[in-house]
Amino acid sequence: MSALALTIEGGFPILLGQDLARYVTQLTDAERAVAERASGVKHARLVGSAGCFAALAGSALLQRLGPRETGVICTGGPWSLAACSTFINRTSEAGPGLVNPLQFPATLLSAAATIPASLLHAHAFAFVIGHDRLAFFEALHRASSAVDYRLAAQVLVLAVSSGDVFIEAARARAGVGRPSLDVSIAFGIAAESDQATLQLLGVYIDKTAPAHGGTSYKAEWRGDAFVCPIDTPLAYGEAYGASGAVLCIAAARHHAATTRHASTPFSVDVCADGRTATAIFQLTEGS
Amino acid sequence: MTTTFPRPAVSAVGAVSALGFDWPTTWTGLLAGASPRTSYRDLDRRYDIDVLVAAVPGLNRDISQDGGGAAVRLANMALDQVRTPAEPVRIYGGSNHGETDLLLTLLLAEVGTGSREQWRAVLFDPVPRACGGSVDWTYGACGSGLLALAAAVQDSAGSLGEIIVLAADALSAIEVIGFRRIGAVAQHGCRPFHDTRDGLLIGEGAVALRLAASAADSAAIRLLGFGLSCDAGHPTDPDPDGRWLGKALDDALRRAELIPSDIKAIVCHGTGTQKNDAIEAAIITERWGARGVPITSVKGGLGHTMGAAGLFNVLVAVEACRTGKLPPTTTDGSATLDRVDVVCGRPRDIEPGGAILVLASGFGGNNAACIVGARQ
Repeated sequence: MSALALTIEGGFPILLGQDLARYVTQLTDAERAVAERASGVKHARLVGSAGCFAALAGSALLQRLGPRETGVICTGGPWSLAACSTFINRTSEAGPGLVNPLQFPATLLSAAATIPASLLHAHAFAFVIGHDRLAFFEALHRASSAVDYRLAAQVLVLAVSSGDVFIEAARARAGVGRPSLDVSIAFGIAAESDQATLQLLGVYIDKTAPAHGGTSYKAEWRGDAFVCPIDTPLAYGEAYGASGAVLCIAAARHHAATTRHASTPFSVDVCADGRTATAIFQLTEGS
Repeated sequence: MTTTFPRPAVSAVGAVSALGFDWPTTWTGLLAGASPRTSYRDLDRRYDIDVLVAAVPGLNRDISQDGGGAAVRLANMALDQVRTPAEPVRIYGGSNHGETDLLLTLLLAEVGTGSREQWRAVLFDPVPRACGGSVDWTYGACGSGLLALAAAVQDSAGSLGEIIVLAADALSAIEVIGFRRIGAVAQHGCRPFHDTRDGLLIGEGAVALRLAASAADSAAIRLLGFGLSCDAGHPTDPDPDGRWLGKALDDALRRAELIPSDIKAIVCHGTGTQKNDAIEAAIITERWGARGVPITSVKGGLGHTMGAAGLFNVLVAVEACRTGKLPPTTTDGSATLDRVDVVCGRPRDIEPGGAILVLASGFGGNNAACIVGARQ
């Protein structure tokens, strides 16, 4: 792939006192409800948090990038859990004939991508990708490929996670130790952009990446335990398919703070459940 | 830099459906116009839902201790028909709703029941995990299979070996209840493109394709072009003008370097719902004129296999291209939409090797088009 421009924006409109909280945080139920309402998504409570967070981040980024032929890829995770649980509970209480049909579309995993696509008028494509913690890298790869093949002029990779009550209940029962993070990040990928924070030089899933001569930020999930040499919110929270996005932002911040030469590439190399992924980046001037 | 779409060949196919446990049996059933139906009430007694569905006969629907269920089993049944055990391959898969009945089973159970692994499977979809190895999984509603195929084709340019594309979905109470509540289930049998069509036949199944990036065989059936789009409109209804589905179709033609008259047949999404079929018929008539190209839909026989539907359509196109036989819809030919040439009653002979267009659409406005043919 050719080097692509990568622009980043956080979606949460609240807690502006902390820069990081625009991207990743742990919301109270009340704060999550505020964020859902702020997303502009119709029937936000039926849709679930992840779709709303994807819309928030996508809207914030598209204001900067401007409307071009846009595709949407959302990172995978248990994003239909709230809608499915509500649907099932209503069906059990009232009977199949009285469940609200408006609840049905959000029971599909793809809703987390098509809901923001509808709000953003993104007509190139809209889907969710990834079933594990490598989902963000797969999304980056797919977005890069889509730009290379001109399936879209720009692709929004929406990295989202939610700590809503349904996901938290399932997490506790699954024995995943760290509480779920709330994540709302949009990455805009295009051939070029004057807004870009990073250049994306390559993404490699389950195959060896080429040497780049810069710093490698290596991270690993050993079971559910996260091991990483730099400080990231993933140390205390689970972000499912958005994990890679949180890690890449932490690595970029660390690289910007510690490197003498911004042009030196750096990579984020992860291993999870026997699978590997590498993304190679370069900071842009002034980022 | 713009990259040209590769044109990999289809080197092996596998399937499991209501019509059979492999692709040859399924194909024979489609040519014969078979349409096996079962009441959902006989498959799931938790709710009293008397809706006719196209179910895979005898499929084990129990949830295992690791959270796998019918969707996992269907995926592996199709995968095993194309996978060579010793060879590592990358799998591109897709589904509409994964193992949704797992959550239903856990929520309806007594409080505190369900193993850790089962709850883990609620958080991390067990269907792709059960495939093993390097799996890239797409959730694009009923366009999932074609979206996965498009991704595989893009990556086939840099692939040193063969790759597999897989799509699978099992029947789920949520989808049966949901489709019934939005009024999309056929009351009088699924009749794609019929004047009095009134809905879809919910189905299930899995389909797998093996792609060879470097096949030298000039007679090989290849994937010639793709187009994707999103209506970005209503959560369930298609764009009433069909503008974005039309764009996907036009993009597929452009990437295949073909014009409409090169297309010898169309395997439509053809759900049997009023809106879908009317819109497909309109965009086809717009480009091919009245009754300008034979079209078919297999959803009256297979049922709507959700995330697998688009990839099933590709298999139909591949087989039709190879054999020169286009299977009929299950619709009575007496009252089809008058401006489209719907194949009814018996298979239609078409030019073997000729290009065939495949369409798929899904909730949220996902549209995908793919062209299959024997041309390099």
